[in-house]
Amino acid sequence: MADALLKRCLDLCRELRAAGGATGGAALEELESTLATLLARATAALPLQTRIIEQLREPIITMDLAGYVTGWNPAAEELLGYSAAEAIGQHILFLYAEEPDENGGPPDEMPELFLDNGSSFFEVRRRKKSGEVFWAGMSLSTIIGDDGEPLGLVSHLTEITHRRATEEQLRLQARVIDKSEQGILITDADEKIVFVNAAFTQITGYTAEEALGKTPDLLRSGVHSSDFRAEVRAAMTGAGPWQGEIVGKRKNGELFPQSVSISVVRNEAGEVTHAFSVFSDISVLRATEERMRQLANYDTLTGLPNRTQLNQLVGQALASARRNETHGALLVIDLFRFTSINDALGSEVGDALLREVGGRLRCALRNEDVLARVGGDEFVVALLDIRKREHSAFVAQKLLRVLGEPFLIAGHKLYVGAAIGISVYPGDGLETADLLRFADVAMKRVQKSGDTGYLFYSPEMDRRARENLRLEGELRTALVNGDLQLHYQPKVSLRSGRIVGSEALLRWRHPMEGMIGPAVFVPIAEETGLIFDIGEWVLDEACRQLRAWLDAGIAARPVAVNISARQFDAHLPARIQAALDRHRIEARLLRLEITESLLVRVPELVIPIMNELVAMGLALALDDFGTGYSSLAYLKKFPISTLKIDRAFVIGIPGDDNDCAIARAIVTMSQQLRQETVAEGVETEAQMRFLQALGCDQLQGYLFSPPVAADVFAAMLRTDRRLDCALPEKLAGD
Amino acid sequence: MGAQSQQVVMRLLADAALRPAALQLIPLAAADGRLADLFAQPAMAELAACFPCVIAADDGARLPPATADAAQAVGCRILAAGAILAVKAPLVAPLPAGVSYLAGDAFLQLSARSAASKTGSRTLALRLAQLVAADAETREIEEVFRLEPTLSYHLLRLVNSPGVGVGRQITSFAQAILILGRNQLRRWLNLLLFAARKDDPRAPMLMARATVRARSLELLAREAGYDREGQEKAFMAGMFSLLGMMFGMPLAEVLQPLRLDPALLAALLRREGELGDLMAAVEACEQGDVAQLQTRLATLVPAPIDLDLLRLGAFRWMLDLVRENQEPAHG
Repeated sequence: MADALLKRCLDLCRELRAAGGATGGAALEELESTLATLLARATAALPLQTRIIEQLREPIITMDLAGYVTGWNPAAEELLGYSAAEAIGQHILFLYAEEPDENGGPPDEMPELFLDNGSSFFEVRRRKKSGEVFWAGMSLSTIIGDDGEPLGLVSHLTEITHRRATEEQLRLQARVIDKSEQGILITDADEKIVFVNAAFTQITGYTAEEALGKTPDLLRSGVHSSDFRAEVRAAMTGAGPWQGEIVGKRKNGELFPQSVSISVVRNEAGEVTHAFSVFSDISVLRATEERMRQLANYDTLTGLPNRTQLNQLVGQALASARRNETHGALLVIDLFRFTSINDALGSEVGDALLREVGGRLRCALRNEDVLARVGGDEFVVALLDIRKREHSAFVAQKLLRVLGEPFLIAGHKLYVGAAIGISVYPGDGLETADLLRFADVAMKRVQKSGDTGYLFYSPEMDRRARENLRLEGELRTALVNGDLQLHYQPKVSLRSGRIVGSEALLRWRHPMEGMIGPAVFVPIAEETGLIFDIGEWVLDEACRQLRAWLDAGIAARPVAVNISARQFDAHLPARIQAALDRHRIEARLLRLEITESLLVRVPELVIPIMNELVAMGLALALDDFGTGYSSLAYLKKFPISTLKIDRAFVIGIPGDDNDCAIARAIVTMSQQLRQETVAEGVETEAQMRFLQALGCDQLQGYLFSPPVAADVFAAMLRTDRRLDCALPEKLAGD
Repeated sequence: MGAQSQQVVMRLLADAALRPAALQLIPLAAADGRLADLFAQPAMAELAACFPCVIAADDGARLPPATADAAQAVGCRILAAGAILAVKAPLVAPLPAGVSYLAGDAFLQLSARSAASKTGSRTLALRLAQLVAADAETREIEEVFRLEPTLSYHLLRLVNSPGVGVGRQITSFAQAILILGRNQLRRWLNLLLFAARKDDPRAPMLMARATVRARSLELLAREAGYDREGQEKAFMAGMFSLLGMMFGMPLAEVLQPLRLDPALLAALLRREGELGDLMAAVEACEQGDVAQLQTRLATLVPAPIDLDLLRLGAFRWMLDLVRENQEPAHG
């Protein structure tokens, strides 16, 4: 109808133009009146509805079918705090509040799933502009057009604060009861069990199904006298609250001491309707107490374990080391000058000094390390679980450092050095006595030299530890002095031969020894924690270099940096974002390479971090795929977009059947997961052809280029250097 | 640079219910001896085993007898005359006698105001809601989006909208899903399910065409040596290229709220840039325009590509994915 009138208006305009003066007047008049009709209809139809909605006290929100807000009345503004101008055009999801808790309860909006008939009412959590979250009653309906097609959605919100608050409280209470670490058991007036919580099941071994309907005799151990049982029974029937210890019996028949408190619930008539017992298993506590008694042999002067206890602890650790192939070390520490101090200043000063020494040593160690005092001025440190035996050298050095500081005792400034001898297991042996003796021998050697210091019992061990220590110190300096560099190894497409990106590889320009490769120093950096700082530097440097290339007008390709497991924590995404922002780099230009060892860590912790990184736009590559234990099913869980075939397999291609099979499996697997594959360490044309035929996507290796300095890499990009990977002419039937 | 190899045009045919029902192979006039090679490909046999592959009667008659035999041996059916009806205007049921399949675009043109076309497939939205409820892996959820241009369009639009999104350029569906988060995704799907009461009857054909085009582009990008991200972008270009037709609106207008990568937009709207060349090549391939195909791919791919195999792969991928997501959700 409106269309017809508008068309008529256009016709009239055309007539007017054609007619000029003569008939113009009449047409003009008609045009005017037609437009007036249209206007009247327009104000009468649409805005009337709009006006009604505007004036409704109830918050009304209209949306298009995709959920974008098209209308927002003043009541909605009043309730939610957003003005119409702020809200219109936004997706309605901006109002949804986060779940109160992610694990508990069915999702609140679930009923929406089952709405099929046009309109419905349900309760949802919504968020106001102020951030306040409230419960809203919401009715949602579809607006249907003349042709029967839905045009949009209309939602009508009401705030329901009170009801939800009570429900919330009930829910909270139920949750507290269920999640309590103490066992809870409720019986009815007939002494039948009507409720048990999760802790009950955990302690007794009986599930709720097994316990419900039974009496508490289920847990009867038979060790208590009948008087005692009568006392408990009386409490359950309302004689008054009772607290005490009862020995119960678990489902598996085991007896356990429990600390129990019993109370009753009465109805309005004062009759007992329910009794509830709250109990905790104190067998664990008991066990600890007994062990404490057993181990009471502490050194009275320092409060440290004595030799007996040391033997016991080390003995246990060695037993488990035999099973689990763990490493450890014993450090025997002998103080210098102690005897002369003791003689000259008296035993009180001597004792105070020993206490101080004990305190300082303890502070320098990790909680799990054992420190014992085994003789006059002799201490023993047992490092019972270390990743590498050389690590004990770092500890020895740290201990010497803290002992090197002067001690202030009774107005005396005392200097004591120490000799430390180290034996390691399993290398030097797996018997406590042997290890202590070897450490002692090493310690005596230090003493003989007259200097403060440490020595390993095994000379080979000693040499390695010292080399590591030296490198660590120099590496620290290198990081500060800017002696670290990134080199870039191109990744080229096996299809086009073009450079598609690069991996940034760390190089250390050592002032004396020239270039040192990462294989030499990265393990040390990992060991000492320095890898964290180095990793941060690498991220920043890669971003800086990308910015420099972009500024120089070079079409930059993504740079992949290696992320150590040490760096992979919850703050990694923020640190990377900061580096990207600092150099104004798009996330897609940075790739992260991670190792398989990361995947076997707690996936519940690792996956959310990975997801966050991918959401930022970063792509993740798995560096050494195939060397660990990851299966396809396992790999699927992680948002990884690239698999790298380790050089260890590439070496054997195409001669070694095993390596070829592994490479083939990796490529097939990655295709299923829509991942790309990059073969590392490709050196020969034969390897390239084989990988190409497998369908591998990219290669990295000396065949195309070794890792090169940034300017050399830039030159390759500028000249569009390509890998000659075109198949030899005959291709059919291959 | 050798010539790209294309022997046949492949197009999807619909049945009377407008569902994808067969793959029609139309031999190009210039098809040579290599056509017989196509019928010898294992991929051809595999596809024919799981989905009807047909040749129209007149095309079949033009084939050399040996080639026709090879086609039938691999499982392709040569249809009787008149079995394919080229639809020129909105369809009136029932189909004339003897017609098994429908071809052509006419019946896919939608009225601009069809609401069902704008909210996407209710069936797949339901499938997504099930996957989200079952806490499925992101990868599985992503696969469903890769099947449905309208839903994936809405997803991208949502993560680009103020108040919900993050104002970052989105390079993959997985990224969009992760930005949105599972809770918001679930709520969004619920709302969508509420709004979309029924599936558009034309949606299955449009979806199938969009995803085959998207997958073809992705595979072609792979052949051209693009990395994963570039392939993803190519997929997106193919996926969104039919949105204008689906929404009955100019494509530029449809894409405006997505803040797409400029290169992607240039390819979609003007067939410019490398990606534009790839898109034009895929379209040429759909039309059997071999000359255009050669021009567009001239500098992009290092070696001649067997486009027939590539297209077969794309169809196969689409069929597998559709089948996977029509089954009731596990668990």
